[in-house]
Amino acid sequence: MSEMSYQQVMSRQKKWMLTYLAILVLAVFFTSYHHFLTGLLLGTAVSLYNLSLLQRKVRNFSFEVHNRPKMHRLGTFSRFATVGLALLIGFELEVYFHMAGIILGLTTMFFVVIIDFALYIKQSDS
Amino acid sequence: MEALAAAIAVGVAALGASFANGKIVSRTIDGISRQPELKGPLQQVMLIGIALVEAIPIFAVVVAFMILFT
Repeated sequence: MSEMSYQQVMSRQKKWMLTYLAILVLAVFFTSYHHFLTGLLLGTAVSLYNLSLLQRKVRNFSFEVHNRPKMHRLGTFSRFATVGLALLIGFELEVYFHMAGIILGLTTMFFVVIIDFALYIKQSDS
Repeated sequence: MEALAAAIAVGVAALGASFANGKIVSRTIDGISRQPELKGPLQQVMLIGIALVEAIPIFAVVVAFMILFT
């Protein structure tokens, strides 16, 4: 696996997340569970941002390790801050966003990473 | 008291995340320095490791906000 493969992994994970987001948007419009699904949509959108941030930080970090001695951070506090922002939006606009949906949506990125790794681990071995 | 509880929750979670992230990153740097051609697989494993390690502290942040605002 090379740098190009890591690019492929990044784009594949983002595609999973964007597909799921598109399904959620359709579900918000065509089902009657608006309150919960808008919360889920907000949580998943923040989770997508967190995932792309983490992917970029890991890619830049390994580049720094390989080419330059100066190290950068991994952006953990930024990810925590975006989670806090999503929760604050949920607390302020509780009429529109269901808190349980937001919290469930925030965990989407972990499922995507695990499922993507499980599905494509055999591909990387060959 | 709520503020203290939230601060302890987030602080301890951040401590755990920082220890775990430090171990992951140090092992990744070791691996890249020994075998630079394996940078790609090591990047992917590092991504998965950091994502999983930060899951629990994110739940702690959620709990802290719920303590503060409910």
